[in-house]
Amino acid sequence: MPISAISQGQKIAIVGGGMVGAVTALLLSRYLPHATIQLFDRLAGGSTQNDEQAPSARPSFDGRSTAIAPTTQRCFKQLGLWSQLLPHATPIHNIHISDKGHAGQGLFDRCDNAGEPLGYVVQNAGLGPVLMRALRQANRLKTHECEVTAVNICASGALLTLSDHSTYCADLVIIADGADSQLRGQLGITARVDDYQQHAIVANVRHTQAHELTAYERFTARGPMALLPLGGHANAVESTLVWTCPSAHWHHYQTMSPADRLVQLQRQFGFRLGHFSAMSDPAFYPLRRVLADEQVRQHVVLMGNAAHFLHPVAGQGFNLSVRDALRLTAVLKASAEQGQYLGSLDVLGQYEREQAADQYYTVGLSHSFHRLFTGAPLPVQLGRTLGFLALELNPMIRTHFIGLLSGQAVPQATL
Amino acid sequence: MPKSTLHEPTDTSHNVDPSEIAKFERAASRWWDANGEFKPLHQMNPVRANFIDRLSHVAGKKTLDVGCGGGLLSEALTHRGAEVTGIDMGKAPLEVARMHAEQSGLTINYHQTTAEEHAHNNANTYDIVCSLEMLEHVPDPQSVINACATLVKPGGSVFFSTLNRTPMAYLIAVLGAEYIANLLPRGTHDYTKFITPAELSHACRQTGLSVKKITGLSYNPLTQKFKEADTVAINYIIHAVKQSPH
Repeated sequence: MPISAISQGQKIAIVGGGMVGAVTALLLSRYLPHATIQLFDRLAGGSTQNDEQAPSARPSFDGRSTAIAPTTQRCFKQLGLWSQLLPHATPIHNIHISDKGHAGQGLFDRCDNAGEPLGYVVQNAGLGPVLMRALRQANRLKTHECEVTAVNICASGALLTLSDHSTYCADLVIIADGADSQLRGQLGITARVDDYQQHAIVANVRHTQAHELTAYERFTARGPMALLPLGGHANAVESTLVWTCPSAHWHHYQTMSPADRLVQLQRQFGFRLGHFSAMSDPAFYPLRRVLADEQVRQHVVLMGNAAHFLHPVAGQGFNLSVRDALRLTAVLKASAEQGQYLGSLDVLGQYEREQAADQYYTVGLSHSFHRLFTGAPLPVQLGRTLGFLALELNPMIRTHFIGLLSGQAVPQATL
Repeated sequence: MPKSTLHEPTDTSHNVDPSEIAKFERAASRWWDANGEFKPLHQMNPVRANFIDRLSHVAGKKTLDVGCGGGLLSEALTHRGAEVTGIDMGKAPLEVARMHAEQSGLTINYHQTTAEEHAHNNANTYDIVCSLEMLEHVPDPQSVINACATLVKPGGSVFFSTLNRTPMAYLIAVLGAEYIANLLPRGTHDYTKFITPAELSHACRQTGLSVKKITGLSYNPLTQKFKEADTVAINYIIHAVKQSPH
C-alpha cells in the first residue's frame, strides 16, 4: 500500500461527467478535504453531456426531465445547489397509480410523506448548467475534456490512458461512463443484460387540464407509462411523458403523424388530464436492464449506469445512483479519517457490502414494475388488483411502498 | 471416513487422472459461456480473485495459476495487474485459454504441464501460487500442495480452494448442483475426493506453509452471487504463506 499517497492526499479519478459522475465528484470534493479529484469526460464543459451511446441511458442535459426523490433532494441541499435547482423543479404532491382495464388504483399524497412533497421533477436543461458551474467552482477538483481509453491496474494504482496518449495514475478510479461502459468491458467485468423487448418514448406533452402537481403511473398491457408534472406550479398544463411500447411496434410509433400519436396516447392514458393538445418530438430508445457482475476491485469502483441500468418508469435509476454516491462518500470519508488507503479492497468492499441491500431492493422494484404489469397472465392481473386494494387500505404496506419508491426503505448513508 | 493424510503414493510426475482430464477436454469450448456448465465458476470468480487481491495485492506480482483450465482465474488476476503463468494438463482447455486471452488483449503464459513438473525448474519463482477448485480433481493432492510450496518464493502466498467433505457439501455441490439444478454435468465431483479444511491445513503445514486465513464461499440464489462467508461447510479458500528460512 503506497503510504506516501496517504500523507500527500489521495488521488481520485472519475471517468464520465454525466449526472452521476458530476454528483459524485462534488460530494467527494466537499467531504474529502485531503483528496484531489480529476473528472474526465470527452465533452466536459459542454452543455449537452451524454454518457452513453443509447439516448436512453444518457443522463443528458437535454429537453428531458429527471424525477428527484427526497434523498436526492437532500443531497443537492447538502451540496448547496438546491436553491439554484428550485426554479427548474416542480414538486410532486400526489402520485396516482392506475391499471388500465382493471379496477385497481392507488393515490398517494403528501400525508404519506409527513407533509413534504413526494419528490420533484427537475428539467435536465436546468440541472446541467448548475452542476457544471458547481464543478468549476469546487475545491481540489479539476475537469478534463478528454476520453479515458484504458484503465490498467498496477502496483501504484489505477493507470488511466487518455485519448491524447498521456497517462494519469490514480489511487482510486470511479468509472461512471454509462450502461455501455467501455472501461467495464476493458477491465473484463461482465454484465448481465435483460432485454425488456420494449422501447421507451420520451417527450413533453401539453394537456387541457391542470396537473395539480400529480404524477401518474399507469400500467397497460403494452407496458407501463408515467406522466410527471412540469411548469413549477399546480395550474401548469405541461407534463413529461415516459411511455413504453413493445419493441416490435416502436417504428410504427416513430413514423405515425403527431396527431395520431396524440390519439394513441389519449387512448392509453385516458382523460385524467383532459385532452392532450401537443407533444414535443419524442425520443425512442430500447429498454433493458444491465447489471455489472462486479462493482469493486482494488483501486476501482463502478458507479451509475455502468454498475446498474434500470427500467426508467419507476424513476429509480438516478436516485439509486445518488444514494450509492452518498454511501461511497461516507465510507471514503470515514476511511480517510482513519488514515486508510482509499483504493484498497477493504475500503471499497465495505462500500459494496453496505450498499448491497439498497441496490437489491431498488433493482428488484424497478424490474418487478415491468414484470408485474407487462403482458402478465390473468392470476397476476387479479393479484395486482388485490395488491392495489392492500396499498389503498393498509397503512403499513402504504408506508413501505412509499419508502421503496422514495428510496428510504433501507437506512441511508449519513454525511 | 476421515483421511489422516492426503498423500497417496503415485508417480509424482504423472499425478493426473486421465478421466478427469477427458471430462474437461470435452467441455473446453464452453469454458467461457457464463451460462453453461461452468456458470458456478464464473459466478465465484470475482469473489475468489478479489480475495486473493485483497490479501496479496497481486498487481506487479509473478503469479502461478495451477489447474488454470480455460483461464478464468488467470485472466481475472491479469486484469488486476498480476503477471500470470497458467498451467494445466488439459490440451483443449489451454487452447481455449490462449485464444480467449488473445481476444481480451491480455498477455498470459500458458503451459501444458503438472505442478510437480513445473516445480522441477521453477523453485522459489512465484510471489503468489493459486490452485483453485483443482485439488479435488487429482489423485494425490498432497503432491500438488508440495509442488506449490516449492514454486512459491519464501514469504510468498499460496491459495487453495476446494470443496469440504461434509454432508452439506454433498447435498449442495453433488446432489443439488449435478442432479437437481442440473447446474453441473453429473460426475463433475467425486465426494470421496473432497477435502476438509483440517486436512488441507495439516497438508500445508507438512510442507512449511503456514495457514493465515480460511474463508468460506456462500451462494445467494436470489442475487445469484457468491460472497465470502463464515461457514466453510461447502466451498472454502485457504491462504497460506511460505515461511522464510531462518
